[in-house]
Amino acid sequence: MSDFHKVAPTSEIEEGEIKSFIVESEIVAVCKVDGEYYAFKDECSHQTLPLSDGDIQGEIVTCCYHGAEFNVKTGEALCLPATDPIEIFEVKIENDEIFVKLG
Amino acid sequence: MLEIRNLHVKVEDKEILKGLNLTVNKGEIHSIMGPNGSGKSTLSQVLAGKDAYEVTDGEVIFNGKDLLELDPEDRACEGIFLAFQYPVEIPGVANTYLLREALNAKRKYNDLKPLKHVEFGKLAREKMKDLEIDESFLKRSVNEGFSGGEKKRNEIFQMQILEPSLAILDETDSGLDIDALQVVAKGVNSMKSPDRSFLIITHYQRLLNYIVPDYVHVIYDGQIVKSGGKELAFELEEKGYGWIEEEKAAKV
Amino acid sequence: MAIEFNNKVESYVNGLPEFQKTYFKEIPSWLSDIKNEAIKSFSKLGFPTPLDEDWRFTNLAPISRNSFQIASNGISEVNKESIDKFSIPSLDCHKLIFVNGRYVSDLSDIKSDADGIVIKSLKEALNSDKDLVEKHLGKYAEYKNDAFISLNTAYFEDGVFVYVPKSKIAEKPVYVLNISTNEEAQSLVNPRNLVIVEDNAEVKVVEHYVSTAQNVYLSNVVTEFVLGENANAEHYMLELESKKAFNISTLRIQQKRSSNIKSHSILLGGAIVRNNVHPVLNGEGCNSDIFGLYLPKDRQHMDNFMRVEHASPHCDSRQFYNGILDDKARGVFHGRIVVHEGAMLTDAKQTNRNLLLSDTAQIDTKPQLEIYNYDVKCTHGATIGQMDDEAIFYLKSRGIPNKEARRIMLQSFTNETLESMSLEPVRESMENLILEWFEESFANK
Ligand SMILES: Nc1ncnc2c1ncn2[C@@H]1O[C@H](COP(=O)(O)OP(=O)(O)O)[C@@H](O)[C@H]1O
Ligand SMILES: [Mg+2]
Repeated sequence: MSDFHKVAPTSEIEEGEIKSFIVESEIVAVCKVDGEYYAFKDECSHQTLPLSDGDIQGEIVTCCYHGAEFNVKTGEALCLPATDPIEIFEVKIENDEIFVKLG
Repeated sequence: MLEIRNLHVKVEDKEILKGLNLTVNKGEIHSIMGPNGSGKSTLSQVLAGKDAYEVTDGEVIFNGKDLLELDPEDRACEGIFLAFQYPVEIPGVANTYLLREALNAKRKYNDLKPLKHVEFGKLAREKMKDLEIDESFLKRSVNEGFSGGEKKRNEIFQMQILEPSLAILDETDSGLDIDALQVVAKGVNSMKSPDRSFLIITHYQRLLNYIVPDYVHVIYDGQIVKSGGKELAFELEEKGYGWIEEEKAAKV
Repeated sequence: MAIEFNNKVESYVNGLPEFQKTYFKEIPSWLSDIKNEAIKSFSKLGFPTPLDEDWRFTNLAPISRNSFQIASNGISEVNKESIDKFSIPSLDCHKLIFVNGRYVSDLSDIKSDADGIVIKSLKEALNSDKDLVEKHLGKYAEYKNDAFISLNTAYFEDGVFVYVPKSKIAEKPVYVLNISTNEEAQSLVNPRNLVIVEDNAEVKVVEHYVSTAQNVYLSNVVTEFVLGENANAEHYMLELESKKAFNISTLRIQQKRSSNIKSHSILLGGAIVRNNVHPVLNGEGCNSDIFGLYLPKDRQHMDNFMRVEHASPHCDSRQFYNGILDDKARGVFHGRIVVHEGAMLTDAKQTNRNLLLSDTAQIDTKPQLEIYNYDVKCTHGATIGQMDDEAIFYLKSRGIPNKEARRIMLQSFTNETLESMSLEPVRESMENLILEWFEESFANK
């Protein structure tokens, strides 16, 4: 279950962009910050709304619904209304493809 | 049988036992008396293996083994039994289930076959009669909704089933009326044997009218400060613990 | 051509005509009408979102954004042996096997029971017991306001049909095994069950959901239970789906005067699970006892949604739901008790107890009382706690090994639900599965 799953080619996500994918029974947001790819559960810890609808500034993603902010590298919640972290998934790049590990 | 040497114990960075020494030989009954907060329960829980207590120095040898190295369940199987001052309530676990599991765990440890349900039932009923415990006891959840007296009797009942070689009774007498006290004492006395030792921790001398100790120790501020025969208990009863405090203060 | 669904609601609307043509030789017009109405409701409702109050804690995006298709047969993967492996050992029962939502008569075993009792596949009953089916199907599980019921109503193909006439007692339980097989594509199955128990009649029904592989699919189950006066029924929902699957189930119970239902839900499988239980006590002196046990671990999400409706006086309802959560699992308990006007002397009780075995597990529990009446007794209580260390030490101090002590503590917790099961083999089988669950959980610590 905790294998890596292919998500998308690296070319699909540009710097500062955030996109959402269905991976098996999970929703995964992937973003690119300073040339690196990060993945996390596409769900705000506040009201389970999709974070991929929001914006990313540096390594901080902002939920467009109620303004919660999270660090995409650590998952840490940075401001209210969120208090719990978001779940971070491990990422690996192979042959220009993005893979994430669930769980 | 039990040898405690220079035992130092800490809880949450506070030193509670400060170099306690005690030797209990086979078949002896020792009583430990002391004021509230002197470390009586700490001693009993450390002997039973509670991990919240940190042993910072000293050693405890039980039948030639390093007791502090053993897990609580192995200590029990080696023959240690603690009657808790405050027995724990466990909803949803029947008394009989706990007892049978416990007895069979101990038997397994000693390479004995588990007791059959019928055999166990017979044994339990026998002991219950002596302790004036109702049959319904077996089916009830461990200590759940028990009165104070019932809880203490249940501890003695468990002790009778498990037949330890060292029984530690932590204030089993506290809070009991005279009838319940006598039942408890009877339960203990019926188990006296040349192979079994008792460590009877009590706050009051009263219990010792029914269970006669070979030795009485006074614990104060984490140390045994006085030891003697059973007359020491009467002295304490008469003079109170203040006397010990003054004596100790004078020494310093 | 496969009937496929994607993240657009239209795909579900567009697939229906083809579905009806492919899977029903001659669909009765009343059923076709219902299906068409149901898909209209679904297209209006869409899948619920977290903004929907009843779905606040359960994010359905992994379902609504996913793609599914109507499952193919998959029967080749299943044979007598695999059935035996999944079934409850030594349960003397009428056995109905469904593979990817379709009845497999060769693998099923329906014994003869008392006169007049009917136990068969619902698809068959559409012809043979047309009047009964038409009279009851869809009359209780309302699709108008519920996306999953509407989806099921539109796309159900089969399920179990049970009819126990007046004063008859089904001696053997009806055991319904639903198997999902390892499909290439992610399948959508909509089992639909209808159980009619007439006045003074009795039956026990066991629904069991399993899979042959750990793959992604959606099981969307609707079961309607109709109880006549003084009828007695017991229901079991054993949810052991693949760890990557979605299981949404709705149990809708309609009760008449002095009828009794006891329902048990055991949730063990699934990535996202929603267990809806909705009895309506519609007649004096009804009893409704609902027991549940949910054991999510890893990243499983289990949501229990109770809606107990008291519509008549002097009815008693009990809800006992216990959860044990480990790893990063999440649990939800919504317990809504609705006491309608006129339902005097209602006695409704709800308890929800939870044990968290890890710091990262999470539970949201939410009791809700809607009372339009005086003179009622409603109590609810929820607890959330960790394993009691004092109790563990107490057990260990009696010689019981650590693992055993932990097992005893957890078992005491699960027994509250299990001991109410009257079918011993089912209880034993669940106990064993739960023991395995404990073992796995201890091994990872
Ligand atoms: N778990 C604990 N955490 C913090 N302090 C404790 C704990 N257990 C005991 N103590 C402290 O240690 C001292 C001795 O307690 P205890 O052994 O229970 O005494 P006694 O049984 O003689 O009354 C007391 O001051 C008590 O507050
Ligand atoms: Mg004490």
